Amino acid sequence: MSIETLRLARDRYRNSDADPGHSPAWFSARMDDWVREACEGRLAPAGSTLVLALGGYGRGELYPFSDIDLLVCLPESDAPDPQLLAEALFLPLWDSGFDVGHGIRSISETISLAAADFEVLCSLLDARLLYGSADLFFDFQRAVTQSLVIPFRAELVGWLAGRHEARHKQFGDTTHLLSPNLKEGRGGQRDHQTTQWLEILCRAAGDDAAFLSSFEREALSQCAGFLSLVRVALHRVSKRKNDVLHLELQPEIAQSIGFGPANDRDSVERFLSELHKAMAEITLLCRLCLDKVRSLAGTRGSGASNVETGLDFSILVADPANIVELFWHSAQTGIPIGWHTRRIIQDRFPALSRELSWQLPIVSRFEEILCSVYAAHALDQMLEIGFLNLFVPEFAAIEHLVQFDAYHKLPAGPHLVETVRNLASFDLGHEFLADFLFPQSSDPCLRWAALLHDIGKGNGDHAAKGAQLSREILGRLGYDDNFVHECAFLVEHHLLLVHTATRHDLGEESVIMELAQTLGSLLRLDRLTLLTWADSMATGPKAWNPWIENLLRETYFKTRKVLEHGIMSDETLVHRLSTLRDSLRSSRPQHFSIRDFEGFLAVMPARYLMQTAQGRIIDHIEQVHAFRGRSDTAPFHLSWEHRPQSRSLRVTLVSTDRPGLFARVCSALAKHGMSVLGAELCVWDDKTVVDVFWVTEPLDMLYAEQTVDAFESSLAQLFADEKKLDQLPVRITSRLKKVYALDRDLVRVQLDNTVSDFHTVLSIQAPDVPGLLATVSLCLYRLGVDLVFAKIATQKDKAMDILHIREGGEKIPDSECESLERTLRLLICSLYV
Amino acid sequence: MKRVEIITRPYKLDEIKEALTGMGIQGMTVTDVRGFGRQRGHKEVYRGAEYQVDFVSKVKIEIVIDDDVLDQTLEVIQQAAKTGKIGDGKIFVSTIDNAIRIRTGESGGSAL
Repeated sequence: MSIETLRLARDRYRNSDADPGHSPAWFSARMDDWVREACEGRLAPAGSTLVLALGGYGRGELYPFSDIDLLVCLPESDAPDPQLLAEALFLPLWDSGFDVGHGIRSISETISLAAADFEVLCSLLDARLLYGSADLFFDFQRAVTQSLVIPFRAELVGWLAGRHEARHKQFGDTTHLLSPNLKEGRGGQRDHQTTQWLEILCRAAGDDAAFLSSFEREALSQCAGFLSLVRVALHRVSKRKNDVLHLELQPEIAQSIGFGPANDRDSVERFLSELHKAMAEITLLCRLCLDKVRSLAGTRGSGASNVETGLDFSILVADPANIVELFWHSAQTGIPIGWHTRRIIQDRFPALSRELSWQLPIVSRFEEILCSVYAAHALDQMLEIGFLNLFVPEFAAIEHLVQFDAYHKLPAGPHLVETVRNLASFDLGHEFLADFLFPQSSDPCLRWAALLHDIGKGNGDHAAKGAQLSREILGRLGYDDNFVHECAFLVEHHLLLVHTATRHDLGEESVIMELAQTLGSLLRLDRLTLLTWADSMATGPKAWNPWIENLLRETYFKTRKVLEHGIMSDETLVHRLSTLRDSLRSSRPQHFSIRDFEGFLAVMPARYLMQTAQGRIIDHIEQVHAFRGRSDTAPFHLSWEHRPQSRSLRVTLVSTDRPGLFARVCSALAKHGMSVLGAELCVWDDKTVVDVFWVTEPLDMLYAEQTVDAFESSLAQLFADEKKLDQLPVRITSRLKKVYALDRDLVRVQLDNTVSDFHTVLSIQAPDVPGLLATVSLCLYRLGVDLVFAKIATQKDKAMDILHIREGGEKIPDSECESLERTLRLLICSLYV
Repeated sequence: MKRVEIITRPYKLDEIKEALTGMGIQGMTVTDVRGFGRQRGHKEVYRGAEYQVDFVSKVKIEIVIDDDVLDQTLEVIQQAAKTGKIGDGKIFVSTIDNAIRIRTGESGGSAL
């Protein structure tokens, strides 16, 4: 074969449309043909100069952009001219753009070099004769074995183990990273090569026992074959030497090896799941081989005790309870289960999978493991060995499930174990809310929720599906209803806090109130927050970072405050609210459809529901409905009724929230001599205002209707022309003015920013006087302060008003509270003269 | 060409994105950021101490547009992002000298 023919073959091989038969072995054979032809005429076919293929080429694996590693071993005497040899072999390859690893030395030099450098020695283990005497090559191999492999076996095993560890540390858990390194990463081709070298070392030591079982050998061969296929595709797609499966290349590679179209996310995820499975299997088998060879070579410390070589309870695993004890002991001590015992455990699986009665007796021990500090260590092994899939069969469906995005670094199975790991390592000194959350970190319910929270993945709404599966799983394992319900709640809502924090306005009280209502207790808040943290940490760097931590902390503290001190601090509140709503539903007026009625209930704040009688709520709904249905453009709807016993009128106003609404009403009332005895002001979540005022009845009740009509007219004018509001000082009928010899301490005005995260609470206590509320509300309006909620009351002659206020959507800054208090106090005192 | 940088509330991202893509703007860069302006975060009492959390989490959205759609774009962004409360954020506008599409080499407005 000429060099031109070889170049053409290479170019065809590198093409993405290459024939499926153009494989690493195929191209190695083409290269072999060329090398032999290049040697002909220059070297004797069975002569004493050996031309060897090393490394990947020696194994017959040449990828589209692989290096070509050649070694020419010269005889000690009568050696051919090395320069001529190099020109014949290496120059054409260089000129054709191949990357050539080359060496020309004698056999003795080669062996000396290999003795000093294990990298060279390992390359010789893969050496393959291309040209020269087969007998001489056999002698060469024997020399390598006798003078290097056997004497240095222990050191070589240690070196391989050290490189294995260093490589895994450098490249991370590659199958789990977003862009795995197919060659050097965990479960990559280097790990596969390591198993092959370890087998050579075993054979060299005269160990003829089966290194791997036929099942393991078959599995390794299949996984390595798949990896090889992917690496070929990667080289072709990258059009250069590249062993990192970057995220943006994954769709095209999935398509090129037949998983489906590049734009089909399912295809890409199936491809990545298969890749993860293959690399996980290689990782496991490589580790088992290392453990085996190290135990045989006695390289794992001195004294070769069970502690050093791994636990080996081969006689115990007939009883599944003992299998769990093995995991328990391994979890407690941190010592991994040995390779031989793993095989024996796996041999039990077919029998155990046929019936499930063995599960119930071991649940409590499994739970102990799950809640221990070493939980993840045990779960890792359970996952690797396959025991977790046996104990919780639902795990098998999601174990290798990969989400194709730049967000999830782990497939679903390892992700769940990693979530548990995060909980297990959450200590009291942790930065994120440790004082509050640490007590829950080893809670069994939370640990189960961590293990199962993504069990529903791949099925649409995975949170809801996961909750359903959790109920089935935990019910089957004998947990009581309360535990099952609680765990299912955590699974179903494991995304709630992040969604609330990132997609809703945390400055709105209604958002936090709704969250608090859903959670219902501090215990659930703490558990769910911890689960959110552990889940996010296990997902990837984009899922947990200072930005999201900031939002989550704010959500946590605001919700905690509502649950601890606010209206939600009543533990029975959730139940009472639920009962109230059900009762309202049963009183639904027939002319409201269920859907419309639910629409009203959905926007009523909890505070409003708790403090308003059921009959009045229905009445308010009717009035809101009437307001919305008005054909005119009136900005409000008014109704009133006389209450003779208290000599007052109850005036109900329905409107849409706007600045200055309360000021308008108070001013209009004051204008017509109606003093506010009490008020309950509420803004529903959809900005519907439902304000109820109890006001003094008119002096002459005969003209009550006219007075109210006049009030309504004044109010309408104030709505129509905002300037009128600005012009108002409060007009108080002179005959109602009273002169007080005032003790100024009777007027108390206080602003408090500690009661609520959302509002400043303004408390006013003062001798009641007409125009008091109008003065205060006008002042607030002119300062641009919004009124969100108020409770107005009069006890005997004392006004006791609580107003929740905000400025620009935020609480009044602490620095401004004092001046606002002073201003209001001065204004109120001015009313008494 | 103008570069428009919007810093606003995280939960407004989807709304702003919909509004911009609705007017034909096809590219944007989004970054999670923290900062403070007049909105001063909230207070926490933690480990016995009360302290002010000043760094509020926001999102930063960056787009580059032609000059002739600037006013409309600013209007659309404000409509989408505004709540009327402190913390709505800010929009910064700066001039871009040139833009180049790496794949094709196009420059100027046709690179957008």
